[in-house]
Amino acid sequence: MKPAHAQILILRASGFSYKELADIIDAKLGGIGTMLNRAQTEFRKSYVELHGKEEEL
Amino acid sequence: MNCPSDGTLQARLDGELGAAELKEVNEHLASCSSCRGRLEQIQGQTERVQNALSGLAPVGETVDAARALVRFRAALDDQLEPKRTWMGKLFAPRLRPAWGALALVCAVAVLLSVAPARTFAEKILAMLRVKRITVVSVYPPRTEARTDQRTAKMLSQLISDNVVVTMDAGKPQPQPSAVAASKLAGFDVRTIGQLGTPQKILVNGEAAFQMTLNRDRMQAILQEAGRSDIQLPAAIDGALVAVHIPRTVFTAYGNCPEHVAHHGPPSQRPDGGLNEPTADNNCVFMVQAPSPTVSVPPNLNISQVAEAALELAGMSPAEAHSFCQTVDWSSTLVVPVPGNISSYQTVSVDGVTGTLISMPSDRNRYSLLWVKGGIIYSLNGHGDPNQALNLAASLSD
Repeated sequence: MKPAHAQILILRASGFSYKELADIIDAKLGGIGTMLNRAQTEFRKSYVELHGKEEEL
Repeated sequence: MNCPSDGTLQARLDGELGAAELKEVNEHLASCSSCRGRLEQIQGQTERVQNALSGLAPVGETVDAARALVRFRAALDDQLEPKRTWMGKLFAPRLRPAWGALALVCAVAVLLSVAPARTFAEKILAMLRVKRITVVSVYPPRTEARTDQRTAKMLSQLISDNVVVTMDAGKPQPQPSAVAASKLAGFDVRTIGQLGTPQKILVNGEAAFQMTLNRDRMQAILQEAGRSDIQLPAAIDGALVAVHIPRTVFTAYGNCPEHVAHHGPPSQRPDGGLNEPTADNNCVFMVQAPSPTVSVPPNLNISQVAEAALELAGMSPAEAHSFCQTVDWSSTLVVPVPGNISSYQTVSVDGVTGTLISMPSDRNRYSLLWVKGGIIYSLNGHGDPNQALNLAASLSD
């Protein structure tokens, strides 16, 4: 995974708001949703590649 | 509205849309089955990913540090206008060498605010007294104003959190004459004969502060400033540094802007810039002060710390290292001046060796610095830098 994607997923999972995420990674607030969405999609793909299936996810 | 992006749908799921946008998106969803399908798909993905992540072991330090940082930043953002205490002024982001002795005090404080040791006994462990000033050219990296301002805010927050003011300078006291000022300040205040009686004489109160050093936080500020490559010595963590600044006398001649007359260093504008004197003024001002005293723990390796400070100011690590080998840190104050906007020369002044800094790009600002009889002097104005020497030659004894 892209490190930026991994970072934002972990931060989001740690309970940060979009505003806080924008501050931490120095990005625009409006782009956080898109970035999270892409990060999740990438995470899912990586997970499937790693485990071969998605059911456990 | 057009179909919302995946990002917008994600934000809606996460409850992060503003009221107006949420209403718009909901209205659209009500009439668009394809978007409802996407929303459902994103929701499923979000839940699965969150489940997977929640199964991870506690993430630990990384997240704690990030959380701390964000809280820290949020606090800073709330504080759009940092408190302009005398301490804040000392640490103004672009405080320049031209501001003379105040800048010297600032440099001492900054230099020593990154000093090693574990404990600090009540007794004075080491005393620093400035006997000599050394000026060195630095080339600060170009950083965005926003970063500068944020770094300055973090620094100001660090100071307000970690610095204990043990003696407050209070408001500067106007004095009717040099004699009165000398009496109050406890040393002989000198005036520039050529310019007659000063328009304003102010005596700044005695001030003292202590600072307990927090290495993680300082390192975070360095990182914020884009200099995560500079490593502070581990030993500085928890060290207590005490700074005592004796009464400082400020004399102003000619048409000095109010802020110069009242506050010494220029005030800071909300955008992070400084309110500068107007170009056509003929303001000349002097700052006179006994050397500040700095108490530091005995195992302080100032040279090591100074290296980090000079690197931060824009010196290469090799330059900083070799320069630091040549300086006696127990008695020398190093004033870094930006090499791209200013130049300096060693001059003979008041019977001793001084430094004349000139900044042609800053409306010919000049600053003459010297130390004599334990008093640090700085003489500042605009125009031909040689004028500073003429004025200094007419100083009262």
